[in-house]
Amino acid sequence: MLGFLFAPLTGLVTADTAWQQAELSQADWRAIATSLLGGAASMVIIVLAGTPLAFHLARARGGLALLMEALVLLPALMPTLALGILLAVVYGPSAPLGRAFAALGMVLTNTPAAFLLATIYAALPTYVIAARGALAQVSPDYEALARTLGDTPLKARLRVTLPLARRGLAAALALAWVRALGEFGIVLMIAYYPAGMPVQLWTDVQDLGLQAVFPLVTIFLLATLPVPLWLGLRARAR
Amino acid sequence: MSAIVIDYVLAAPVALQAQLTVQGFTALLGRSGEGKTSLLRALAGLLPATGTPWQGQAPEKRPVGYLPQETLLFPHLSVLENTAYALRGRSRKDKAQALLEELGLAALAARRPHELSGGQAKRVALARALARGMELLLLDEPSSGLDTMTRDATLDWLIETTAARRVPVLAATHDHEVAARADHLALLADGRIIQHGRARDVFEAPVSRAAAELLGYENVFEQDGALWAIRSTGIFPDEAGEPFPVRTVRETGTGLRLSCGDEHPLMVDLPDGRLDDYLPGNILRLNLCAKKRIG
Repeated sequence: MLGFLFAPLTGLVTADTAWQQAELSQADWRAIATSLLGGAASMVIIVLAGTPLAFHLARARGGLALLMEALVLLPALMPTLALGILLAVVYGPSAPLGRAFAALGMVLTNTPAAFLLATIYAALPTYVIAARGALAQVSPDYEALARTLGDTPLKARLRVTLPLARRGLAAALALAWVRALGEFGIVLMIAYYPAGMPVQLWTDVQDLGLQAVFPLVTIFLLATLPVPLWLGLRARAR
Repeated sequence: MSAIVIDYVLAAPVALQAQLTVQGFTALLGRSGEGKTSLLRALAGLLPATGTPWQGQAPEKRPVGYLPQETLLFPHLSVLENTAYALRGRSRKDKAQALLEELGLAALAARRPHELSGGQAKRVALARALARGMELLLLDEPSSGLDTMTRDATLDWLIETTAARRVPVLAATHDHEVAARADHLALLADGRIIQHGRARDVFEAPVSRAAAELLGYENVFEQDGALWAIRSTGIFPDEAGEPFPVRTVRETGTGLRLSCGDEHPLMVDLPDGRLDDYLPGNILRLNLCAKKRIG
């Protein structure tokens, strides 16, 4: 079974490809830059917006908390292509929301902003759900004690709960990174341009065939696999 | 040393009303589930309550130190960093180091909480609380999680250290032996303080059967129209004493344990003697002079 799970990676060495001839095109380089820069920017937004939400969900009880959980779960559970289609409808040029953003100078179809929007919708729920779990594992008693030592509620969270949950939060961020970089369905619908690595790989395969895309696939894997794998294992090892 | 008059009413999770004066090392003695921890948390500002002092003040604004039962040293910080937690400014680590030295804990400074014994963790937790000035220190079950030998030493250290710094302490406990070391004592039962005063006076004259039982009196009995309490170790055989038939007798690690009398047998612990001398059915004359009148 484990061999079955590992099998895809063996494709990297067994593939019938002429590595010397295959090299990265200019479009490939652009896609790498788009993915890495866009992914990094969306991580910043996700951490800043998602961490307070995860904190709230980790501590909240009752009906309202359940409703909020459901709202976070919804985009995570939706097939990404369906989510992409819905986003195209809501943020598209003919929709009120899309027009409102466009009026502010932010067109949300086939622009860098649209790419960012797609990755945030892909990765924010993943981050919030995982971060919520990490934060919920830290007993609220530590925070309460920090307050008796003079900390405001916010300061207690920053000085005690956040560091105690750091490994789980790092793993949550790593998961979000993988989701953002690997996102294809949503991006296909609202941010086909500028192309990130997944869309570029898709068009390369269409135009040039499987053999030609191995350098980009390798970089794609290097950008998504090692660090999250390490962080995930470290979070478990605690 | 200053006294703090407390008058608090809690609605949840336990309904209770507490009026007491904290003076020196004051023990709050009550059974589990009576709401001792809730009262301490309310005083620390961590549970809503009405009353004086400090009503409505946030925990960080209260001049109150709190040592929970589980100690709760921050696991991601060293002993020194834990001690410096409440301190601000550039010299906070130096101040914390000085405090640890003053308390004889400097050798532990670099350790992490998981590398401390239960007694050491309690001491470091006290250092962490003391670093921030306070008018009242709350100790929740200061003897919990400690074995008997460490328990006595740790308790003495806590009492001496806080007394030397003239910090009034309110220590919640269910253990009458801990309460016996206190200067003052408040008994919590049925959601209110049923007795409080100098520990010595409270032990000498429990106001009710419930008070006597909390104070560890094993025998509460009626005689001559009054209620009396006496410890099993306070009774001894005496030719001039009162007659009781022996019901059962058992040898224990510290001597003999007898139950004597008919309706409500007295428990008696004798430090020495042979089983054969106390056969069930025999009449035994017992001296009950150590009995305390209740009420």
